[in-house]
Amino acid sequence: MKSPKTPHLAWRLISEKAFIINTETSVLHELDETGTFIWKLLDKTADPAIIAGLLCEQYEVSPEQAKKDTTKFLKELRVNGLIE
Amino acid sequence: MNTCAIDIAGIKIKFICPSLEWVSLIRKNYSAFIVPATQKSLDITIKTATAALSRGDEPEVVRNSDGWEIIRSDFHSSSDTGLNKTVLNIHKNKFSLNSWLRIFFTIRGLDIPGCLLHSAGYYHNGGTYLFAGVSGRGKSTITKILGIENALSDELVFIHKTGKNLIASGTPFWGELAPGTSNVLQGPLRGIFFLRHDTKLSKIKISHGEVVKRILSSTLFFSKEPKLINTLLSLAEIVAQKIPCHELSFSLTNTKKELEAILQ
Repeated sequence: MKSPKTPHLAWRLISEKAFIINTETSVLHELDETGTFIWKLLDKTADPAIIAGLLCEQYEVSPEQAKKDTTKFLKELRVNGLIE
Repeated sequence: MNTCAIDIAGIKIKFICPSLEWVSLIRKNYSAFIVPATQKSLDITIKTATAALSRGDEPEVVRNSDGWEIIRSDFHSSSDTGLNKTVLNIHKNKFSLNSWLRIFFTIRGLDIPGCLLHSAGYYHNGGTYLFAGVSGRGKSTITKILGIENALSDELVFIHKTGKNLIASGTPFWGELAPGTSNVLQGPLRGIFFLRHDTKLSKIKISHGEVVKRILSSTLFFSKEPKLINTLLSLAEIVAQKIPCHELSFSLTNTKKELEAILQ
């Protein structure tokens, strides 16, 4: 599966958080715990339904909340040029 | 052949100059860093340019299959992939050379790995302490209070990993206090203080994540290559893990003794 992460990124996990630099904009993004969880999942799947399901399991949130959070987060990543 | 060489933190750079005027310019502006020219150096062949070399005032660093190019309106260099041989077309003045050299050094230094941090540096009790921040934060002021004779720089310090240790080295890149000191100092990095304005002397420890963000925002770097930025990120992470980092505020009335006490 091709990761949706854009190729012009540099990123690392530091103290359990993802630090992502968009090298085109030179903006540094620091993700919180949930964001980092989703970010790591994007190397395996870009399917929002699957991601929301895994979010439910990990954080014991309702499926509706997980779907809402996932959709919102993926949109933010897209707007910031971090995923295609 | 008109040559002269400098050594910055162990990186030896030999300038092959078109005239004695160039040799004189380099010797005068990098006097503390002049070393005998040896075989093992990065060779820079200088060619004097007078016309604008590009339209942009912002520097551009480009990597292609042949190697590297560093481009600005007053200089244009082409280097091989290892930066061992460079042809530098440049206007003949110390400002253009200094600007180019900083950019060149950021690329070459990353191989060590190392980075140029916008910081003043101070050598104290066998170690080094950095005071980081953008222009106007107080880097030169704190250097004046602590004393220029033990300063690594008041503008740009080179942090590099040597074995398991992090070292801070003085550079010829000075700000307000240029030309700096004739002492070229380096030592094990013992602490980094990110400066902020306040009326009293205080320090606050900051988290690893915050250290990484501050290091990255204080690093001088021009290439946008993800692989190189990843190296910088990795270096910032190492600094955050190994070096005590604080936010520091101080007042103009603080003494050298008071500042040295807070380094511990």
